[in-house]
Amino acid sequence: MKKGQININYAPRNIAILNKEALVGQADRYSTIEYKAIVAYAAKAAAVPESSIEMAMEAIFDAMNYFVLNGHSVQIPNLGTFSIGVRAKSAASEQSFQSDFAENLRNVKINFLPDPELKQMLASTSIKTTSEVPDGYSSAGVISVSGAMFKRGDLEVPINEGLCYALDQVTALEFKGSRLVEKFIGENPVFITFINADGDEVEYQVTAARAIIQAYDAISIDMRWIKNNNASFRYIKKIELKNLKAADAVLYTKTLGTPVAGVPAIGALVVDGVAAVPGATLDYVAGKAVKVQIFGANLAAVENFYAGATQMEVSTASIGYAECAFTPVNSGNYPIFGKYNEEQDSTNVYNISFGQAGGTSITSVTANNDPLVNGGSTNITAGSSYSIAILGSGLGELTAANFTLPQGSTLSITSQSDTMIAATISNAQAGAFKVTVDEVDIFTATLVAVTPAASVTGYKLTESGATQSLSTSVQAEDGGAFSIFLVGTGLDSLTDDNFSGNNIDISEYDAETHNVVGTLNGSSSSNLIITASSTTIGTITIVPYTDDYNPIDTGN
Amino acid sequence: MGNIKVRGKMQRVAVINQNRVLARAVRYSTVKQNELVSYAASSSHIPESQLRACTLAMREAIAYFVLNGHHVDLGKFGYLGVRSKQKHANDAEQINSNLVKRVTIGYTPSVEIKNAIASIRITTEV
Repeated sequence: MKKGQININYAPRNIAILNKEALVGQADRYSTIEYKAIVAYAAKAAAVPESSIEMAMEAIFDAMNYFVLNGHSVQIPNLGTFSIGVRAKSAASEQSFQSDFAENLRNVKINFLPDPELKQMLASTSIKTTSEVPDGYSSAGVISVSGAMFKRGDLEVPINEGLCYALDQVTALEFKGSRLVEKFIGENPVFITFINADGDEVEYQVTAARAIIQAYDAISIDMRWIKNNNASFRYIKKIELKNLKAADAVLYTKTLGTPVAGVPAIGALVVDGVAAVPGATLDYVAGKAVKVQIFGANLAAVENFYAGATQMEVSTASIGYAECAFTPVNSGNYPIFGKYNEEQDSTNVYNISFGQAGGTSITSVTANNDPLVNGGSTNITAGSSYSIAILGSGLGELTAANFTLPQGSTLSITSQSDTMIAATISNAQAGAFKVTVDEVDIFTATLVAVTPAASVTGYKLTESGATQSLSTSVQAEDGGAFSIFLVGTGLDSLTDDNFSGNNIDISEYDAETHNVVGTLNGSSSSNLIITASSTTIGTITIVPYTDDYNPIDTGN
Repeated sequence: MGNIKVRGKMQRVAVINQNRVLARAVRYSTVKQNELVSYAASSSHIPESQLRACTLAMREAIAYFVLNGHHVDLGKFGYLGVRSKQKHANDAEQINSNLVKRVTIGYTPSVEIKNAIASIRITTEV
């Protein structure tokens, strides 16, 4: 038989004898296999008709009943032995045992003793422990309910007699520790107070405050609605206090005042799931919308919410809760407030700064020293390699995965710091070049493949001289001046602007003879770079003149 | 209706350090499977061979499901299922299989059996 598996599942339970709550294990019952299913399984396995098995087992069970209930033990090989047993209070003497037996008898039961073979199979069964432990569960969190103790039975009020009253009736429920698993239904809104991580007592309306309370990682509330007699009722399925070892929490109800039109009272703010305090600085990624959850009073009456000068897009607004979205583009202070009839109460403004401390921003990108403009396009030569230099902040966390390149191109980062990335794009192809952080594109450029209008294959030192390779150097004559006749195609279209180089001045380029005349400044060699359509089409090294200068071939 | 005998026997009860008369159901005999099948065959007129084959198939099926953590319905006889004894844990980190002290198979009588037990006639002897 295939080796079985049994799960022992641990879940928090109250241990009455120890008067404490702990994680108590219990063998998981996967399912109850109905008698018919067992018969069907056996019939299939033994190739015996189901009806035969049913009839046979009917007879067997009748026989077992008869024997067991008449004091015999019945042995089923490979399964076990059934026998009857009694539990009775012990007697002081044989006489009292006989006379008081009726009073002393506790119960009569059928015992089952598993067969050794079955026990052996059970011993080889794999035992797996699992747990349903609420996050933050700790034994220190003993539920101690003072005042009115909630029990499931207390809540079984006929729902059709009106709204259930459990919490309303007791007005307040205090509890400590980790969790409360009860449900109760209140007619009025339910509030909770507890001590937060800063040691301050905070109060939230349960219906609206789930998100912020969870943001504090202090409590989770599973709140649901049920429908009965065409009316909806609110009840709390489960409350778990997290990380509140000895802190008290109190649940209570109170009637909310009618919301009035006017200035909103912002009680608390959560930005992208992070509870914000006034004056806090939150990280952001440029261009990425943040979700702002506002808790407070009069929020439903507020038509507009602002973050700085940006009107936030409101998706939800109720008496105590509003949900908005806006996109911080630049770092800086974004006071968040609600506005009603052009009123703004300075005491109810949450000043939140959106910085870039943990964010990423890019100030400049260059490819082979040519700037790439964010949102613009840049010409490239297909198949060429480009040295990329990126300057900005928060760049240290970026990897090659943050870069999107046209198909066929590859990027490798050669050096990196928080403010700079040096990388190489190999086999550059036309397409989109992007830097993406948290699914937001913070830099995009379009690479456009161009074919240069001109190409240089070599040069001559005189117009009629022999062609030299671009890899050979040219010495500058007479203290710096040089004259080179270019060899190639499309050279008629070049101008003086197509020539550059450190320490090199171009005095003239003759588009008819393809003669470029310039001066090398200083005593170091330098590269004369020839470009066409923003692409380097040739580089010739100019070295200073020396005494042993021996022109390769002047042609004169 | 069943009929059982309960015998009282003087024994030392360690926990109270006294001699007390304890009750124990008298076991008349152990009915082996052959006897069980023979009895069932004679009372139901089903061939013994068929009963034997069916019993074998059923006990294999029962063992399979029980050993895989299922609660098995034995029809009018009751249920068999896995039971376990283990230590409790104070926090999630303590949970491991070493806490499990014993895993056994438990039997729960059906309502029909419970009613039959309730009507058992009990006689005592010392």
